[in-house]
Amino acid sequence: MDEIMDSFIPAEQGKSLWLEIKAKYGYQNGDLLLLLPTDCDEMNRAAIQYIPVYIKNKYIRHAFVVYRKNAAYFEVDMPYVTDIELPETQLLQLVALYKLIQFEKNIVAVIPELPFASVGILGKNGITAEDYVINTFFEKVGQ
Amino acid sequence: MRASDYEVTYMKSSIKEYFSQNGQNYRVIIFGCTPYAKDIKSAVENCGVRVGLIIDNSSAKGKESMGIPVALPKEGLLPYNDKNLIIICSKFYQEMIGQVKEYGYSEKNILNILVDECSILDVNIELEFEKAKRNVIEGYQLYLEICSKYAAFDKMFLCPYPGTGDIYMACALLEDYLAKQNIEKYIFVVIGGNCKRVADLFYVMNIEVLDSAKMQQLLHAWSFLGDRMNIKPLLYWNWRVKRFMRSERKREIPFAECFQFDVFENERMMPIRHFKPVYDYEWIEKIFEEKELKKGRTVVLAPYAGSFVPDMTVDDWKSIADTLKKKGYTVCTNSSGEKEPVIPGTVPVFFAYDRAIGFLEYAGGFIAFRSGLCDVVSQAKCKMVVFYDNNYNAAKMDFFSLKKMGLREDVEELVWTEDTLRMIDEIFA
Repeated sequence: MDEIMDSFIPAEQGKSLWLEIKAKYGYQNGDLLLLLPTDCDEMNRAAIQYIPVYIKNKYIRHAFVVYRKNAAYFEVDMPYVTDIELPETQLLQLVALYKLIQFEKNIVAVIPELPFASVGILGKNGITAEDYVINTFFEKVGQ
Repeated sequence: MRASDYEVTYMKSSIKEYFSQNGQNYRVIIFGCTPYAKDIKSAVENCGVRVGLIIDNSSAKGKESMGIPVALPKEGLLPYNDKNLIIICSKFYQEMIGQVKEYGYSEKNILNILVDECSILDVNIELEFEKAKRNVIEGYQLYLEICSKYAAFDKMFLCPYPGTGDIYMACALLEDYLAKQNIEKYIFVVIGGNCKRVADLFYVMNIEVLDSAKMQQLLHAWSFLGDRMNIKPLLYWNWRVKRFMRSERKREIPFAECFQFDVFENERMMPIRHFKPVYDYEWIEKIFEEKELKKGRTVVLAPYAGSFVPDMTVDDWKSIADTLKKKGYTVCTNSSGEKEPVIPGTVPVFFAYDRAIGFLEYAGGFIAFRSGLCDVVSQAKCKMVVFYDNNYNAAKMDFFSLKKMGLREDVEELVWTEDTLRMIDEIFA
């Protein structure tokens, strides 16, 4: 069993990091946390552009976009969005935490690989990166 | 998808408590044609209150569900009525409440019942972390236990859904996947005996049967530990970290395509490989003789679905049976026992999956509500009619159509309406 215990270390670090971020940036329960840890520019752009629709439809007060330091970032002028730039190591700690627990209600992690997603359907029947991001990573809006 | 026993119990007690504290003088409105709606309706009616309306944001909704009118929220909530009580039981409660409030309603008009994991609003991160850590460790231990039973294997497949149709699809596509990935030895983990029976039809090797909780532990461990476990989960939706593969903009993408492209990573749609049926004519003839059924002029009704409660009523099925009997057919109900009551005026029958094809081909006709049984018998050479709910989000025809899934071409797929009897009359001439 010892062989897996080290896997929890990044998740532990992610937990501490998240509590720090929450306090520092004023994240409130129910806000959107958008994690963009990869360099998939097309998907990251689609995710950011979808924020206004998503938070309006879900009645979310504020969005926090956490992205990788030095990654291309697609700025949109939105007063209800806070950008948080993190080194890759720290972003991966948050991802490890998210793999372990749903630590906030509204988390969207744009990571096109297992266990978050398999991209096999991308490109099939005209499914674009934008379709994929909206329908896979973001929770379906409404009922 | 059906609400769990725990969820139903909690929901019922919440509704009962609400009416006992606030009285019953309300016009009850359920928000959403969700898997919970049927249980909410039942719980409300058990309190002596009638459900007046269902509101739902999907523009594809028809006029009724469970005999209750369905309207868009704006149509149902305006003009403002202080006697409206809107019951919400959904992971989308946040936006639903927001929407209801847009039309002037306040908390006193809303009964919000939180039941699932994603409803959490305020997480105790320390507690959840420790709980999850234990769960992952236990999941990993379970994985090692299963591994230890086998000398060697190339991959462990997890089938995380207990639905017969889900397991059928997994098995029907497995052979091509094994060949593509050069997998010779594998372990196939399923939930419950029913799934095992389906997998057995395909001669799947090394089947391990778990309960749902153990399967969730394995999945949790895998989603956290990844490649440290030699696992491929045959999941296509509803992971905690992965939600709706089906693109809302491409509504024509059915269940099978999600499964083929996403789960099995096929580049193109592969043919469905049905299992080889068993034809036990001695047994079939004996049943037909005992029950006085007519060869080629018997229709088997299958009104029940394991994963949810269909909209069609006993009266609807009885009218189908009466129509068929008038035309000279003998009519049976496929019933596994008390939980699946026999439609009045029909003969009870029950057959194991491996004998089902032979039985239906001998009978001549099969009329069912869409369930996993339809997948299992989809290759039967007989007349087949399959019904889908009109207003229920969990059983949509465009998503689960047998035709679209490549399971069967020669099938009438219908949404039940009053006009359907005329079609039955034509199909079973």
